Amino acid sequence: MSLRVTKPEFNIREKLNELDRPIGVQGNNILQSNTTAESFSKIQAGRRNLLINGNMSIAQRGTSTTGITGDTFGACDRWEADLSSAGTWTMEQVGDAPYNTGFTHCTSLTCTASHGMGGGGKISLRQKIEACNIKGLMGGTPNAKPLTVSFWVKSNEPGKYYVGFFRQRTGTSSSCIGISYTIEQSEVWEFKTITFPPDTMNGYNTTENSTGIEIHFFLAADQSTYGAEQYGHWSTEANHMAKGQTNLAAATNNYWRITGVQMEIGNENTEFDDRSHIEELTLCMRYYEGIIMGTGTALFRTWTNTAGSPTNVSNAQYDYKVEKRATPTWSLEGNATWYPSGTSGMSAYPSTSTCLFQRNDTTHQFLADGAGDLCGSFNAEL
Amino acid sequence: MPNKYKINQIQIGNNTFQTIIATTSEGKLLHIPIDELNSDFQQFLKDVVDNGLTCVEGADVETEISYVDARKLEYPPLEEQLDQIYHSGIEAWRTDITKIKDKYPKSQVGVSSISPLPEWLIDLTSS
Repeated sequence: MSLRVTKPEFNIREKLNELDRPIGVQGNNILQSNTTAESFSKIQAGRRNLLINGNMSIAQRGTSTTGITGDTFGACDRWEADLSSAGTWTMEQVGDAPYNTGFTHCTSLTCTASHGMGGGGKISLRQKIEACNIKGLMGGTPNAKPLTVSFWVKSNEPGKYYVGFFRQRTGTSSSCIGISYTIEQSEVWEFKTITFPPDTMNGYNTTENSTGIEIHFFLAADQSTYGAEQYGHWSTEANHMAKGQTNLAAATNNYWRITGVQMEIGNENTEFDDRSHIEELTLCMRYYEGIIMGTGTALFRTWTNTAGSPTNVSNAQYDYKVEKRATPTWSLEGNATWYPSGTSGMSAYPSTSTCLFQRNDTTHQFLADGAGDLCGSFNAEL
Repeated sequence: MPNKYKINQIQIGNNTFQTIIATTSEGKLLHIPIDELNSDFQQFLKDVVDNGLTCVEGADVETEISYVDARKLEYPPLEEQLDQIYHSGIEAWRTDITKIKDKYPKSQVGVSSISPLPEWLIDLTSS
């Protein structure tokens, strides 16, 4: 009796060709993953940038502030000049960006009155991130993850600069770290990436809607205060944050520009996490909501209480587009005024979701702004 | 130069709400809520601790209301007044209304005064 066995055709030449097909180092890494979670982490898929407005496209407050000598949100949303005893500066959103990268704007800081950087002074560009938005970092636990910061930077003053972090911890000092980078050439956009080790120092900020971590890009720092020997790891001592930092405040017209800023969990930087304009604007509005009026338009319809308590008061209500981080501060902006003019205007009684305007008489008012621009703001910045 | 602050107070229903109005060195008015997580309120607390209570003024309170507002509060609703005219005649109505007008003469004007600073603010500087 004979037995016939069949099996699929096996092309040895084809199999040999497959061995030549490049997989790449990252491909090998992914192939070596033991779990789905590990594969996902290696691909670095999903929402990556922990910063808001990293491409400097949103500037609700306006595009320029001059004469800055203290902490100021001067141009691009969420980015604040952190400044003390460091001269005078102009902060701007500028239509300048590295060529062929897709970026169109940057934040620019220009020195308009120089300073020798004594007296414990410093200037940095910073962004504070809410504690509820950095849980994935697992800071303050044994499982804390590394952070990678990438950005494009340009200055007329090449040299050593620092990127630093302060991580808030309830009931104890912040943990902090500073790592340097070098601007090689004058007036040329350069791409930088820095990886920070995990911060396992015990504790974190338990108030979820206050600051969890803040990132600082130093432009100048008093070396007697911030220039101690570098540790390169997290500690509670801020005096080692910026050893050898260039003093950009040394001369007027010195400038420093930045865009495409990304802060992500992991050891490697990935491509910039582009969000749609409206998504980025919505994220910004949790912290600052500007009210824009067209020329000749009016805002707020007031009504008079005729029942309840108290009666005979004028009211208006504004519902925010986005729930606020905390109860915001209300302010008129630009040349906006309450109409009829000559009256004291309405008092604001805001919550995190809406604002009641009220005055203690029956004068009906509305907000007028002849310029068709920013006329009021609700500020809930960290 | 630190901001100048004024306590602002308003009655909404049964509740009295306070906010703080700051005047910045540029002359901008900020309506600041009393919320420890608001950065302007944090700055207000810092300014009070650093500079003392001289940078803060108490809330304006109306200790006497004007004759217009006082009469308005006391006049019966229009329906009741019409009903009184129908049933008792216009003279009876005039007598009652005159009593209110006499009670609050036109010489009565609204008077505002500045109330003392709230206790929580005074405690801030003494602690």
